[in-house]
Amino acid sequence: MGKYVAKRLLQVIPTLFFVILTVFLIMKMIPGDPAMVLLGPQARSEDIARFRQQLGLDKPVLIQFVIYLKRVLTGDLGNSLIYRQNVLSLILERLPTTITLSLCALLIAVVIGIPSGILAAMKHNSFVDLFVTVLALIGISIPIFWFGMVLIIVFSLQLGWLPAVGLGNPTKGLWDVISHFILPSFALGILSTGTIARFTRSSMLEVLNQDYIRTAYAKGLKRNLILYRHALKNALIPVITVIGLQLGNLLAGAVLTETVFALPGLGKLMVDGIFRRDYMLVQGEVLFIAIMYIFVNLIVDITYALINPKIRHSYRSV
Amino acid sequence: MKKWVLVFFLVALFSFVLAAPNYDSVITVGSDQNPTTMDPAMYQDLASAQVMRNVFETLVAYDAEVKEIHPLLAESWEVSSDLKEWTFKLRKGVHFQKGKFQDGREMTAEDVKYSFEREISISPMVRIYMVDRVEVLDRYTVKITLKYPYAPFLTVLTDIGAAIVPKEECEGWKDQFTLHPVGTGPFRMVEWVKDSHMVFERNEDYWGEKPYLKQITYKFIPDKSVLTVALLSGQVDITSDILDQDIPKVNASSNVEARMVGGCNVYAVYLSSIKGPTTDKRIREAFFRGIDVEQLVKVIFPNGTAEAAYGPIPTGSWAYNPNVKSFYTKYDPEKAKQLLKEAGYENKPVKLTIYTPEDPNRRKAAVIIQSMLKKVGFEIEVQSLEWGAFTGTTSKGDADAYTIGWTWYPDPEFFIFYMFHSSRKGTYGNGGGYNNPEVDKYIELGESSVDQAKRTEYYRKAEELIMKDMVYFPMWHKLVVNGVNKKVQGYKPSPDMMIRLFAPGTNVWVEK
Repeated sequence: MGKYVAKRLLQVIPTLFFVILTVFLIMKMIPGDPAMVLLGPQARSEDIARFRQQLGLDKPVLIQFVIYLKRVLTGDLGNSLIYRQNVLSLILERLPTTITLSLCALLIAVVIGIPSGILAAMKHNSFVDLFVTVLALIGISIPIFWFGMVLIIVFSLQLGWLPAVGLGNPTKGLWDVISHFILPSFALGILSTGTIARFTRSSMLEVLNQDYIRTAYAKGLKRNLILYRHALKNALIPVITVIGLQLGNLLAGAVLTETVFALPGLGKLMVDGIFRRDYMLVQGEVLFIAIMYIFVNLIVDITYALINPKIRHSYRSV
Repeated sequence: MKKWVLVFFLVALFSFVLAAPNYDSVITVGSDQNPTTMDPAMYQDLASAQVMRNVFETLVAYDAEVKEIHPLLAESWEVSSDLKEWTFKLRKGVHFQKGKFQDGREMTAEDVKYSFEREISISPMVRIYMVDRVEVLDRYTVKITLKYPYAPFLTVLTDIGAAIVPKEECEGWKDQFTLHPVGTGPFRMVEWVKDSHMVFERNEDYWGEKPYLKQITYKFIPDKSVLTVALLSGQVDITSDILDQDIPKVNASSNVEARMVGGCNVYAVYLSSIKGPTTDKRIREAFFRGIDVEQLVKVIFPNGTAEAAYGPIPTGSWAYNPNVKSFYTKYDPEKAKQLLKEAGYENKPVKLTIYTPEDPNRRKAAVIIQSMLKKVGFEIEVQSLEWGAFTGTTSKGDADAYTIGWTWYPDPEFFIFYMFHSSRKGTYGNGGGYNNPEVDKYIELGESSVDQAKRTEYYRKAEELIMKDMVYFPMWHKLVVNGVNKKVQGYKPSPDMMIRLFAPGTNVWVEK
């Protein structure tokens, strides 16, 4: 097991290097002069020239990359060009919001997705099955920003139950904070809910058709015992991976959700950074998210290896 | 009868009590733009400038309607006849807010010198670039010498980039000053959660008139439709903008309203005079003759949040010419066809590419123009580019035509000079490469006089010449549209899009 983890950790290094390189090159390839975009159309050419020099944009690209890499290796992500503040501190300021949002969305997805997937599999080919499948498909296909708008219009404008935008104020009590997260979590969670429900359903169906389940039935075991003891445990193993993979979707979706609901999270920070050519901020943030993503995947894989001995053993033989 | 009089009197008294200004007013402003800094030397965006006005003050300031410049930290000023030396007498008894590095000491001429030198040395966009040196004559007198005569200097001094800041705090906090802003203004910043909200509280030691507002909260909501929802549901009291399509929703509500004022902005199509078919004046005239600008604006803004434009000087500027239509090249499709025939395009279309950024209104406009001009014999391709690529292409002068948007101070210099003076070729403002010595002459005359009536005349003359050259097809001036809850009293929208809750002649309060 330890060997397996070590191996996986070693794979992280080249991945991160390529992430840094790719993001750096993409930011360089975006047309338009960062200094000009940052200073706006009314800036004088003297201002732009001086600013380019300050940023080191007049140096060759390779040199710029080496300088950036050196800084990153010392743990310095540099300063944001629009906020004039350390990138890492900006990220850490906003991280709690995005994590809370993503976890709430994931919670909703798991709590709704898994039971409905199981239900659909058990009532295979019934009306319930059809209902769940159709709903899941809608959940996967619905655009987040549209769904978010609909939620706002229905629940805050028409019914007035929940606040439309922004963060809650802790001084107004816990409910104020929670209520601000309800709508965005649903908007963000719907895609994962659909994905998890469908996946649980198919995984469960697959298990239910296995020989050992048939054997269990033949042995005369009670249906419930078979379902919950034997089938469910095995069916949920692949679902765990899917839940882990949802993180990517959630982070991507958070960008849209945070924009619609005006939540100050990582996604919004990134969008603002891209549009304003704050390449220091974008590079730093992508790197940060990549590290997060890699480690979440690592944790998922390790968990998977713990649950599923096959994987561990295949590594041992290598 | 007497009873009725009494009842009437009581009702009148009661409504008066309700409607009296009160000093515990609390307001929430919703804005679609996010401030990025609270350091006057570092800002690059309107959103930051707007919130900084609460904390910082400048020597002079515009009123809410940006029509007149009023004394603020300076009581009076004199200018030498060559417009190069400006001497300001400062107001006495103005104190900075208490901070970590000073306890609310008096502001003096030394602070003006320090603030201006700081702006010149560290600002990425030096707003007072024409300043050569600042001299302290005595505790309350400061002399500013410019590199060259510059008539709109006072306008530049109203910019928050020219705010007066205390040296101890700037040096003490260094780059953290943005998180601990201290100025002489009527409000102090008490909370700032980036991308989310900001809270300001009244500065009880303020030197001037006491604001009715005890507390101002800004909420940042990037989506304008959601912003309007927040206004309608009472989450915010004032919003920075209402989309044209949301106007009916606001009008249908009984407790909020849309307040509009002519803006300091212009949206236009700049035709190149250095490349492509538009170098031929007949083609340019056909372009004008082929577009019905009123129809164009009606289609894009059916609820009237923009007005058709006939010249570059916006309705929100004091130099706006009410007779601007008299030298405008009117819509006349038959004449357009005729002109194209004369220019040798009888059996082939004029091929032209219009570049536009991702602004939905400008994109729509380009497509409408494409279809209007198709009828008279143009074949237009619309190239929509992301902002960085768009400004890159257009400022190099590489576009046949592009949709330009321009928003700035109400002084005509910031429209006419920046878009039409030959020295501005190779910038986004004059990406059409326009060069007319006579226009240059009038602009330079406008820069060298401080008499507003005279200056108005010069810039209007320049505008007339520009419109006769037909290189710049104005489309619309966007109105500034604020959503306002009816509880809010004494608020007027500003043409420069800033939400001013406290300014010369403005002191907003909120009914309980």
